[in-house]
Amino acid sequence: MPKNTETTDRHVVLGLFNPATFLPPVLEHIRSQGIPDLLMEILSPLPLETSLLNKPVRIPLHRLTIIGGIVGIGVGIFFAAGTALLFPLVTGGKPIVSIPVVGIISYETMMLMAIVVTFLATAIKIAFVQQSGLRNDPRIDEGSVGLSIQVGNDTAKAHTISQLLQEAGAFEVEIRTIASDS
Amino acid sequence: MSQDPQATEEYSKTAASPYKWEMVVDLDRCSGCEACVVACHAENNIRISGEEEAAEGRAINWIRIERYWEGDYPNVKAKFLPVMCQHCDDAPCEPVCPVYASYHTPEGLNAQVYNRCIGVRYCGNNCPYVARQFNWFDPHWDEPLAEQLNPDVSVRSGGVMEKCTFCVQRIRSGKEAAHKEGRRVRDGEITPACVQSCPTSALIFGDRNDPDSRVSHLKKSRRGFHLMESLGTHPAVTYLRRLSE
Amino acid sequence: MTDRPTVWEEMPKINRDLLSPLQTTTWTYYLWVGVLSCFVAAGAGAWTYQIQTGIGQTDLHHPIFWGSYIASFVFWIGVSHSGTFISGVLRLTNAEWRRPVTRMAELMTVVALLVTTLFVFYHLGRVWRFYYLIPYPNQRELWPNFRSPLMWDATAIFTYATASTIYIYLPLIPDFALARDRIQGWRKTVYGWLAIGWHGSQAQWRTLEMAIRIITPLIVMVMISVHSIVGFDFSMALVPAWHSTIFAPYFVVGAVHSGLGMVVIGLYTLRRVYRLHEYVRTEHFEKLGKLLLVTTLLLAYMYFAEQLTVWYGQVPDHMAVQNSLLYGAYAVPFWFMVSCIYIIPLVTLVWPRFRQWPVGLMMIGLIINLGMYIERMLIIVPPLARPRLSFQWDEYFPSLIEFAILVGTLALALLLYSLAVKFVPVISIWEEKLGKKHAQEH
Repeated sequence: MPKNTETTDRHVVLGLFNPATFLPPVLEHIRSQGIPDLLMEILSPLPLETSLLNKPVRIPLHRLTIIGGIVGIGVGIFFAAGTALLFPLVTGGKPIVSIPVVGIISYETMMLMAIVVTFLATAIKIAFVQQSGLRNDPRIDEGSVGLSIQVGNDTAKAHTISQLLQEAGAFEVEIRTIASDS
Repeated sequence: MSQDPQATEEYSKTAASPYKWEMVVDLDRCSGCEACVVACHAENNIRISGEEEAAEGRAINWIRIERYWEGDYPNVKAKFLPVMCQHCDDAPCEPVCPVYASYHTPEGLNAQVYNRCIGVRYCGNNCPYVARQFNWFDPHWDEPLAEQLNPDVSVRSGGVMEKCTFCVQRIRSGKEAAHKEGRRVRDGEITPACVQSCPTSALIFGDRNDPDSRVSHLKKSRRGFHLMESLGTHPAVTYLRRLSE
Repeated sequence: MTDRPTVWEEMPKINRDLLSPLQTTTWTYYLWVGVLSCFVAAGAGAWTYQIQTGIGQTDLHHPIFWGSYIASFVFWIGVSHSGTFISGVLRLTNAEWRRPVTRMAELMTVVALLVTTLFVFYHLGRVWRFYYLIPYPNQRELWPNFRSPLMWDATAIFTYATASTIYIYLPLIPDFALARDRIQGWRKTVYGWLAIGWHGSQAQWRTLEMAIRIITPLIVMVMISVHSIVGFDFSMALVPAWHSTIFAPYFVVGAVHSGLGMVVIGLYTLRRVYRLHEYVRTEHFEKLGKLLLVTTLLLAYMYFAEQLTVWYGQVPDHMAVQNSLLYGAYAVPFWFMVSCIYIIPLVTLVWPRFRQWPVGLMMIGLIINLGMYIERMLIIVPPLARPRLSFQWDEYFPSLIEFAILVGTLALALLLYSLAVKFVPVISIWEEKLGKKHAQEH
């Protein structure tokens, strides 16, 4: 990476819209500026049903849940069967390894691991998205929709886009510059 | 001495096999004198509870004589039932302990590990014979009773479950003595305190795996039964029915 | 889009309304917290005394080895089912009316589970050796006995507590972000950490929604298993009147019954104290009233099935227990309990007009919970008090120390809940907004 402060600064343009006037054509204009959907993000105070942006969100969360669950079953088998075999003590004429008990304990640890792994993956994913230069604006939660566009180090482009957003009806446009911290 | 040569031969072949301790309670002989209760207290360092605690239902007795009245006045009859830990083969108290404080020894004893017990008291609930006793407080003995504690038996702290051990300390020393002489324990050599003190010999103790032992014979008696046999706990204490009526 | 205020225009007001408990605190609140703290201190003192002198400070004696602590343990786990049932089951069935209720119910779950754990410790004879219950490698190579139902219980409650903490935290992330941007001081920093960089992008929303969608059915399954296992603690034992196949489902329904009652109480109180009438409407009380009616009928049905089976069989061991309930030593609490959890809720809640009366529903919630507490005691004590050897029959009533600990713990639960209300919005703000949006679109 070249050690050039001018070229490593990144710009993020954030336009705030009234949800009633926020219309998909804006996105078309921005796309025509050569900005792929991947660099755009819509910020909202509640989840929007329709995805206006054409980017595949691949979250293999359910797969992680299943993997967590399988690991959990292993943990349960270790506790219920493994520890009993490590130090076999006879109690009440019962078998050392009792299948229903292994079932019950594995069920609980399966659920535990599945939920914990899902949670950790979710938390990491949510926290990680933040790294891409998106910023939060308190006004969004007051009832507006934000459109955030990453334009890299092209200052001229940032201004063009902010112009575009203003024309499209944004009541506030900000250009945020993130200094590279290399 | 043997009445069944084949069984004796079998027994000597399996001389290395573990003992299975068994007690027989002859209800016909029990007079309800409670000498066994006193002997048990002295032998096993059972805490002194006193009148007040006894009234609260907290007196600890590893063996107790349950007294049931039958008939109407003036034709009443007292019936006595000595109850101690039945050392069940399928003991309900053992698997419910979350920390293995209660487990089964290879000799058929239902062992209680005082140091491991944390006092959840599930075992106490699950014992159909209410044989398990709990230390609600730390133990104390009035002077000079504290001077006569049995050094072979550990004193249990508060918060710990305890119960009849079949005088495991006597079983141990008996086995050690026999081991030194390179033989098995003889029948009648080991007597728990209650058995030793019973004036009518209502209590008999011995090895169930020895076909010649007195308990092995008595156990086969037509009078023999187990307490709450229908629960399937397979107790190691056999009761002999009363002969009268 | 029409001219009437849309949900977007209402958002500043919603934010203001629902964040206000976090921002303004009255002197009555401080007084309330002060009084509760005194009770908690008294309870803590009683517990310290019990640890110092021995578990004999309770009225427990053989053969009644379990008493009020275990009853409270079962009761508080029951209360913890409020949150999971309301938010889990209702989220699963897409019941829109759940939105203002979920957060306060989930908060109850977490608080109740904390309190539940305490009762395990109160109960232990040697509480300083509690770590024997934890499976960790040690030099003696001893592990806990997983064949004991108590270890199933420990595992299940650990899972449940972890899962419910996660379950309340996930939908809180956007609300924490909201609070982060609006509250100053040290709390801003804490909210900042807890919001883990939430900024409301669609990628985050989609991740969050998917996580909630995955975890919801799982936690409902955990919830059902937890109280089943609490039921197993009893039904696995040989004790007459415990050893019954209906215990697991009966415990689950009973838990939901008292949990719903607790939710009604919380809903009423919070609505009144924080003037949330705009969000918590009569409609919500009515819906909860209907649910309570369902659980009343279901529980009564199961209880009847259980008792009838015992009565018709006339097995002496079991009859000793049932007789002590019906007309013996425990008849007074028994019939009081029957009126509290079955008869009174049934005759009141069937009236549609009654279900629209929040005060009335709140009182039904109180009565149900009082009744359910007695019910827990009656499940535990009479069967233990009537062992098969009638020579050992005995009675039990909690001692003063037990009462002090019980009241102190109740105060602790209220205190924790009151403190949480000042830190966490009691109504999920974004879910409320979403609900309003759905309502306007349809």
